[in-house]
Amino acid sequence: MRKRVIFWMTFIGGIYFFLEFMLPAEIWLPQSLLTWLKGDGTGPLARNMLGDKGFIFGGLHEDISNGAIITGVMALGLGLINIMRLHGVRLAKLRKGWVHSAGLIAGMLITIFVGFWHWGSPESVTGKLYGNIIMGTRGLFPGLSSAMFSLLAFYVATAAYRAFRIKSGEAALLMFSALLVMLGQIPHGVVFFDAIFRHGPLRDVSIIDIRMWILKKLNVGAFRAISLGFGVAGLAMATRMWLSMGMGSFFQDEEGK
Amino acid sequence: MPGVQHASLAMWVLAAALLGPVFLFIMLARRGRKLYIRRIPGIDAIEEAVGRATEMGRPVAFTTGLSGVGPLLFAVLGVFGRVVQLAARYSTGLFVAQNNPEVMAIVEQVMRDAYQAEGHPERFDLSMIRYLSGDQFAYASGYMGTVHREKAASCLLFGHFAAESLILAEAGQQVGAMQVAGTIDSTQVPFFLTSCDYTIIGEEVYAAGAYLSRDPVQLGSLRGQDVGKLIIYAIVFTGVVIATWYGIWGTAHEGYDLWLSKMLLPPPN
Repeated sequence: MRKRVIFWMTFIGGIYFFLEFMLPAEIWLPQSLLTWLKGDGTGPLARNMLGDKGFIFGGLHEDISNGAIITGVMALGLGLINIMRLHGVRLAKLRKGWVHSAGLIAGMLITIFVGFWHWGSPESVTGKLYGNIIMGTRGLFPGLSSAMFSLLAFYVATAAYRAFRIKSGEAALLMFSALLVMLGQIPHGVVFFDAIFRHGPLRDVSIIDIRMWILKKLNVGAFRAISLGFGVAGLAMATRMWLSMGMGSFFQDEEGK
Repeated sequence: MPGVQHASLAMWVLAAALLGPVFLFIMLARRGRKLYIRRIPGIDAIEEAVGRATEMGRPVAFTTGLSGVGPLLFAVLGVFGRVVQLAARYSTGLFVAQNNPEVMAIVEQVMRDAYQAEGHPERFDLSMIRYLSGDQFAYASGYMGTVHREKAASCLLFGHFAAESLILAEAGQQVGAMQVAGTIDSTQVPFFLTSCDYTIIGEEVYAAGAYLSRDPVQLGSLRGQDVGKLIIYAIVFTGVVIATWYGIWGTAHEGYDLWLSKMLLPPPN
């Protein structure tokens, strides 16, 4: 039963979005029929789905898209329940790390209350406090996010160290091309390259041009090949989802069949 | 180049040309035709990763990254379903870090089904699914903390990732976990390549479900996609030949002026 419900809901939703894109913006209708359908022009059909030349299939597209967004927002409650189940239990039983759970739940509750009762408006005292202490540019949250982001600088260095160990021909090629790109990226690299190749056959070649050639020719070709592959695969997967084909491996019946 | 709001006639033809082989090969696979699928070491490593965690008595970490509900997520669920089945069979610890509550609901259902299918519904525990945060870096820090605290033996990162990819992958590196990543985000592939033991790139993520399940529908779809790609390459090749022809012998045409472009895209308003 559940499988059938999922199938029909997916199919009906899918066919709307498929036709909204595949059909022209206005489907031509005879003028006489159009006039009859419009009537006095005040009905919902006339206002939203009938144009000058014909029927607008996507006339209610915004409302339908908003419906999908509302479904997503409803799912936020699931996230809330999950957090309360994990951290609420840890806090209630004072398990290891309960202090962190308390901090998380307190932050979550403050955010919910401020949001719910419009205490977060920039004019209100609570809004100013919340904005400045938690979410504002000098608040906790942007600072913590920036701290996480800044970790990347160190991790890139360690990742580069691992990547640049020449273990194979491919790794050597990667190392060599990365060296050229890095030299072309930094001012000292340009000076260094020009100084070495000042008198040789490469004297008219700029390291910046080599860098751009690697990035814009070699790299783009590889990126586009990857994009083409997953584009076609995504189309096939979306069609299978729409028709609920081959979904049995993870959408099984209640009996587990 | 104008943005595409509605499909042109050529797009109907192209959609039929790309989807026709998919349906054809699905039909052939259902009728019992054997379809060859090449070995992908990264996908073989997924089962090895679960086996490693079982032997070490430590959990497997799985994350769908920043994926929303869409085709990529369903491709990832093909891998995830298999991982959960193995974890249920061998009673291996598993935690699934979540960034999106909609995805979390689907993930929960997949896990329930997999434990049920393996005959161990009692082993499924809702606390295996951890909703960390909808914010990118808060989620990344939550994942890092969880991987460190739980000392994950294997980390499987499948889905859509952005700047947090290296933070997630380094967390696994720091605890010595075996890591397998799969993403279609070209810009994140280099980070996974340097930090993970195996990286599954682009469409291989879509192939992973078929490879693991050997489901005829998925195998047929995979073969149909290959034919679809050949069609795209033929169009690209034709475009290159036409552009070169115009460039050498014809009048100067740029981008949208070429008839092949006009055929595929409706004229701008």
